[in-house]
Amino acid sequence: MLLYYFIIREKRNNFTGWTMFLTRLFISLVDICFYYFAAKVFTPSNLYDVKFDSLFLFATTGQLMMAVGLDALVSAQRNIRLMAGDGTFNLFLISPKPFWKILLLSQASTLMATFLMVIVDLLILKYLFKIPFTFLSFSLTFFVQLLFLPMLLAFGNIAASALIVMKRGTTAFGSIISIIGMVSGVYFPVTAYPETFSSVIKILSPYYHLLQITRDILDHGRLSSEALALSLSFCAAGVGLYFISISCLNWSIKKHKKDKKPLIFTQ
Amino acid sequence: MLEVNKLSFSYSDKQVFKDFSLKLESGEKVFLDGANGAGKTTLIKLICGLILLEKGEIKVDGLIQDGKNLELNRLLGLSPAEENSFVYKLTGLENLQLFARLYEIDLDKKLREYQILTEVGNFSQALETPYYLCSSGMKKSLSLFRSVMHGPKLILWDEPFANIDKESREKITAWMKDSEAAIVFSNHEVIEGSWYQRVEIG
Repeated sequence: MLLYYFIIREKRNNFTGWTMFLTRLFISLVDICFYYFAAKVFTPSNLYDVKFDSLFLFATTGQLMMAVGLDALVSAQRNIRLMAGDGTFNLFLISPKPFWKILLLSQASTLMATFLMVIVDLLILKYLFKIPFTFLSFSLTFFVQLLFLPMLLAFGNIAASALIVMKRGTTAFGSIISIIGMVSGVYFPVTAYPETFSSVIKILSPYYHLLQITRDILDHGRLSSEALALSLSFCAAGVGLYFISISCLNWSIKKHKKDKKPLIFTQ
Repeated sequence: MLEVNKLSFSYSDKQVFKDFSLKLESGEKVFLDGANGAGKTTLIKLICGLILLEKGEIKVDGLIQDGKNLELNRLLGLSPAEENSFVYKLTGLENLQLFARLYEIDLDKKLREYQILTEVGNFSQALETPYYLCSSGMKKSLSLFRSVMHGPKLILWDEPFANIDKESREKITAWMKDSEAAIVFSNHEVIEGSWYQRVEIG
């Protein structure tokens, strides 16, 4: 399978040898420890009205649950940058397979690596920090993440299309990602915002719902029927949006070919 | 096999082609001759559909090149002038397997079929070496092989002899002469022989 070679690429880029794997593990551990000590210093206020009543759990689970979602958003442009960098982009454009399919497979390999790191982080939380996650809550969490993936990948394709046309904007895109994380309730609940603003977030950001549902699963170890219905509706809308995003991608490639300039991204 | 009709193309301040036409039948070979920046690579990219033409028409085996025809893509085999065109962290063999999957072909069979091209520029060593550690000659040999392994009807080789030693160059030339595919190639030096048609660019 074509996917196999993208997985090897991802493995060699991120996990070549034990030192690289241990380094990534160490970074995860430091990240978690940062939230742990931050939670010790900053006493959680009554803003934390969810069952996870400590800042530590709120922030770490928020960060972890957003990892895959945010990666889905950036993976399209990241993979296109990789292809442009190693010179395979043009070769993939003139292959007998549609470019979006090749991109999707390369994104899948990127997301698998992120999934793996999230699992490792969750295991650190479970065994080192004695957080009582169950196998069922782990599984349900990933199931919900999969249901949200089409929509997040679609947004990623649309963002990547803009990058192909503009050939710049990766820094701005990174900032947008951080803002999305902040406002969707990764580090603190959206109830901290003025009511009007938090209502807008609840309507516009799929990340908000993704976080709410996954936190609920980790907290209660079950997926409520309302949450399942909401996740399925995001999945259905996401599939529709994904097809629209393919059109965006095709349009941007056509525009790029008319530009007569090589695909080199600047900041 | 290849029809370029009244092609006009320009970069912002420079007209590269004006009413340029070219016709090529199966088995014919065309050598694009011209100075640096004359438009040899541009013509190859236009034929591939990597750049869209402004005026005129390009047809490959009767199919119009509009930059999105997947059936037409299968008929093309490109070896670009750029040194890098493979995934850095994969070995030569893994890279060829990746592209073989894309074209849905049996790589082992093709390695036997195009054996002469596997004797070019340390090809066998390139198969075992991560691409980013390959020498320029090894990279070129992989690129040439990839461009022909799916049996394209039109081969586009941009500077196929760059970084290739004399012995390998002779093997490539011998293969080109015998090939049943139409071949368009460019080179900075004139190639000896009368087995190709020379087209002046620029």
